[in-house]
Amino acid sequence: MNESHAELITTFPLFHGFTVHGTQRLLDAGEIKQLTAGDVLLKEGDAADFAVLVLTGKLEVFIERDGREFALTETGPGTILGELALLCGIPRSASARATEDSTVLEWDDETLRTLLLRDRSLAQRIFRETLRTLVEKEQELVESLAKSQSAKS
Amino acid sequence: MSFLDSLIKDPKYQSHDPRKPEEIAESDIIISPDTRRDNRVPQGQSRTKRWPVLDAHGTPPIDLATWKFEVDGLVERPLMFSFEEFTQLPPVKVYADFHCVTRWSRLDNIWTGVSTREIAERAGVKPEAKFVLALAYDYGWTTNVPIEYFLKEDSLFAFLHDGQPIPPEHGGPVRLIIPQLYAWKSAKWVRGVRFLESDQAGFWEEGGYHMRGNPWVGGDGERFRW
Repeated sequence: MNESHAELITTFPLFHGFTVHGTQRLLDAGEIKQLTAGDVLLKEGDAADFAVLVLTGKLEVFIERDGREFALTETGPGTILGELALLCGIPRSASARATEDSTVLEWDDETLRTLLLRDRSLAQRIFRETLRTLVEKEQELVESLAKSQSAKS
Repeated sequence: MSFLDSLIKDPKYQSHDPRKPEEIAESDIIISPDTRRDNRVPQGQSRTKRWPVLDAHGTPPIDLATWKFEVDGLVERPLMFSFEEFTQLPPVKVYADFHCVTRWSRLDNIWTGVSTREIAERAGVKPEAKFVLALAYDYGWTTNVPIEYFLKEDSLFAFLHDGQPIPPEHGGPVRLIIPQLYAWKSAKWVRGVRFLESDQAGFWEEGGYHMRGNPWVGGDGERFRW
């Protein structure tokens, strides 16, 4: 099972250039978790003590306000989830739920920090991806603000 | 210890400007050709006066009494040396710069040790050997090097840095030094080399780092395979 996961991770853009031995080390450092459709993996407001790499399936990221859910995005294989809150030491900013049966590779806080401290290449890639996502969110926010402003005027 | 104290007390801190190769007085020293460049700092790098410590697993415990160095793979004569035997081999001195893939360069280093050519000649490397896998004491760590870089005149297995034993955190007792490639190819805590016909990714190379790692090639050096 792990062998095919190792192969699979080499196909993700974030891990381009990794060999199967290289991705096997990432697997050995973490733990595989199976999720059933509907399982909540991350909960908004919870303390962040792990991050995951989505291996198979789909997860939706959402927030809850006044009893209503707002979907933020849907993610699939090759995406890292939950790293931002962990690295910033802040509570989860959103929840994530499997929308189909999914497999994730979970790294605990210390493991992820060690991986990133030791491997500058991986750190650079993960930071770049995380920042890119943040910038995109910010742009969406700016656009939606601009729209609401122009609707008012 | 304050930051300033750590700078002052760091025995490897360079308070002087890097010397030019022609200022090196010793006549028997091998001058690494990259130190003769007008700009000795490759693109994307900055000079550091310190010597940062980076590794994959931390410094491994090494006992000189049981330390050994092995040469195997595509050779006529597999070799094994104790530390005493190894340090009695004919020494070479190399004046070289040191470029880390994490974007710092430490200029002006004098390494003393055993030439990689000396080891290759003693072992009788077979003509089909095209790559070298350096093996290290830190938990199976390896790195791969094309044989033409391994056999450059300025490549050596060093046990002294600027005349002093290489500190454990910097890879002592013996560290491979390949000045013409990024410094992760200069395996710390080296315990041997294996000569191979085909290239085999080492530890960082398995994680997407470059198979060759020449800091002078391309706009930003051969850092990663992505």
